[in-house]
Amino acid sequence: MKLHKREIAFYAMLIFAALVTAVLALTVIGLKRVNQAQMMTEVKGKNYKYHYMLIQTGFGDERSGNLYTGAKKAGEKLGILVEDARESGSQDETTEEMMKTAIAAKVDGIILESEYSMKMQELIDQASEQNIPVAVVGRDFIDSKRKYFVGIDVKQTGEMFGHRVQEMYEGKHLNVAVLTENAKAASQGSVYYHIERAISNSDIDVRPVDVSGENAFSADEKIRALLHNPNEVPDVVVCLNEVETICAYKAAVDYNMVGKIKIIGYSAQEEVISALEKEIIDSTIMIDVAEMGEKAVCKLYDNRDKKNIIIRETVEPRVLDKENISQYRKEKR
Amino acid sequence: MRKKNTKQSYSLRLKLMAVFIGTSLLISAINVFLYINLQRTIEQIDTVYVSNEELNELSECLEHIQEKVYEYLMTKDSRPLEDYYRYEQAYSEMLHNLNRDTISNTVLLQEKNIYNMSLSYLQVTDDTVSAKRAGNIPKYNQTYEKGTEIYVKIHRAIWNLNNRQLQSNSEKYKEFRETLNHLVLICASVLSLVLAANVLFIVIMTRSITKPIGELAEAANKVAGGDFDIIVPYSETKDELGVTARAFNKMVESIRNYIAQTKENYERESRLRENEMKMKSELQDAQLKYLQAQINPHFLFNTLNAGAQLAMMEDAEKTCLFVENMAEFFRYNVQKISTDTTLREEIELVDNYLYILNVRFSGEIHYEKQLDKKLLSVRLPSMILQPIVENAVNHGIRGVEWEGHIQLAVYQEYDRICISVRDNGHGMDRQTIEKILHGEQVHSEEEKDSTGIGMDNVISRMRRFFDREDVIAISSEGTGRGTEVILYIPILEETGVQERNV
Repeated sequence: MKLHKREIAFYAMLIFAALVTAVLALTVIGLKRVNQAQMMTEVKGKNYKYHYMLIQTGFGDERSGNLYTGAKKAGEKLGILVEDARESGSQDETTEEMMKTAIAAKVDGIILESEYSMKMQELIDQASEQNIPVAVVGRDFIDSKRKYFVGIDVKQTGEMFGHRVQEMYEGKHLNVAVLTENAKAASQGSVYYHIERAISNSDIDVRPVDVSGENAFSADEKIRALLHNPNEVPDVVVCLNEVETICAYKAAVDYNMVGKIKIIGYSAQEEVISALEKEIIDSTIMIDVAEMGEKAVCKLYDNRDKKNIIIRETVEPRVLDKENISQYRKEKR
Repeated sequence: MRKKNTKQSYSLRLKLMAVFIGTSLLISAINVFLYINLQRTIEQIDTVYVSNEELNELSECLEHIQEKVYEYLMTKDSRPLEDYYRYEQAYSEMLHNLNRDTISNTVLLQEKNIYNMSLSYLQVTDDTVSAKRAGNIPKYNQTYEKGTEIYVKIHRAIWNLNNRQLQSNSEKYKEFRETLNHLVLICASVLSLVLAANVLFIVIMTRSITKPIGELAEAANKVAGGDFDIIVPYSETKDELGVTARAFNKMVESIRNYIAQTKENYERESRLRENEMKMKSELQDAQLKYLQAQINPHFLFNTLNAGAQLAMMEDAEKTCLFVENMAEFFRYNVQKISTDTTLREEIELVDNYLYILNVRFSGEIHYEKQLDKKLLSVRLPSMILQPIVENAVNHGIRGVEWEGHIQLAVYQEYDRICISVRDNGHGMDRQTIEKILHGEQVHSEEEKDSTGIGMDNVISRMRRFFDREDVIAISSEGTGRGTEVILYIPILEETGVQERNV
């Protein structure tokens, strides 16, 4: 087939056009790639008016995550950047060290969730003297110059646990083990006290079981020892924190004791909720930590110009069981 | 249309310049463009770890400050104090490079914290130095301790930030390296494609330029080989090739015309030469026949003159007249056989001839003339009229049972002179007339009483003399009703006739 002269010219022009198009396409791709790389070098971020630092004992767990999420969410609305001290600093720093950092860094506000210590109280006062307002979450520093406190209603929490235990009584003697840690004796002791008070039935035997130890893994070991000892196996295990709750339900599963012992947890972590849905855990008490973080940021912001003011608030705990867990899921969604 | 004309008017030089400069510029432009982008990426790679270097410098400077404060507190020497102020100044300047705003970016936020902590630290070290100067030992102890605490925190914060930056910068570096690799690949691909496009472009353009040249060369070769029936295309374009093609076509056409004209001239000349040759040949043939048929005319002429004188001496007047006519007849033959003559002389010859015949045949031939005298000067080949009259006698009236008449008439008809020889003899059939007009010998050459010049000779010489075919007409109304032969002489300028005869 012999091609006509015009056809040859047409095809030649077509090839030429295709080549030019390919060149342009490749150039555009190249430029795009360069721009992408350049964009990587550009430091982006939103500007905020205030800078708050969140200092808390936990890190990486749901509770600490929720506290930060709540604080951050409130801060976004008010033009406040809430910095998680552990996120930006060293994770092995104590809350006191973090507090010193926050003071030296001259932040606009501090949200503190920490165990009580005199040193920390001094640091709160020091921050206050340097016009850095401090909001305390969870454990209050009553004698310090903090501006705001939002905590858990310990009495109500203890009573909730007690009532839940009592509901389990079916006319048969109940052995109840309340898992406690000596290091957190102050807070957990109050809860334990209110649990005991809430249980009026003498046929229910409540006893504290200390699961604290020298290292971070002691709780798990001690819980397993408790469930493994036939003489000490309780009918009900009450957990007063998230780690204890998870350790207890996993040990129950491992020792094939699901249904033989009832676990009342103290967490709303996904793993715990899931165990609740599978009826490995009887129920769990949850505190809306995010709400606490939210309240702390809002109150600090609202009262930033007011001196010598102290506001105390509490958040109510909530019981989650198989009856209302689906509702809770919907709310969470 | 206008665009097309503009395109066609580009010269070859411009086209070639467009090809080479255009492609060179295209490649250069793309190279420059790619080079700029590559250079920009390389520059960015160079700056990836700048932030780490700055943080290292910041950290070093901070260490120096702490050292110098310590030295000063230990020795209260002026040198560490001076160094302290120097490093403090440098450190303060370096701090300006750090972010001071609250921005939701971990790196920038850490920079802000370092900045503020550094301000706190510098304030505390100033207090420490002042307290040392004042000799306030408890205070400088306390502030030094506080400063050291902050120093450790800043140092740790810088270290953390540096680590974070290093991690981030490593990712950036990796990204830039990949980008660079991509760019190199793209550059290579782009250059290859551009090269391919350029080659294609050059091939198309050079082909469009060289193809007409090739065709022109081929056409030139054909012309050199004698083939003039070609037309070179591309004569529509207005570049040098178009001009050359048009000139070439014009040249070929001129050559073609010239050759045709030359050929025509040659043919015409050849034809004339052939006619002339034929005329000469026929004349010579007539002369030869005449000489063969007759004794030497000069001798005969002289003899006849002697006879005439003798007859006169003996008072034989009729004999004398006869012999004189005879002598005149032969004298004409001798004088005019090779030249042209006038119609008058031709008629006189006919008169002599018929007189002789009438003497021979006792006046049997009745001869009548009707002449337009002003036409008698016209020139014509000699020995034309006599053979016709001879034919009229020999084949017309000889042997008829009735009185034979021969009529000679000269008159003008339109642009020609007509010489009519009419007899009332046997006449001719159509076939014989056709044969005579086509130059075929109808009668035997050995007939008695003939001068030997046939009709074919007469007609042929007439045609060649006047260079036309319609010089004679023969008509007969049928057997026994006579024949008329008419010669047509075109009225030309006399000079023209004379020239032709010369």
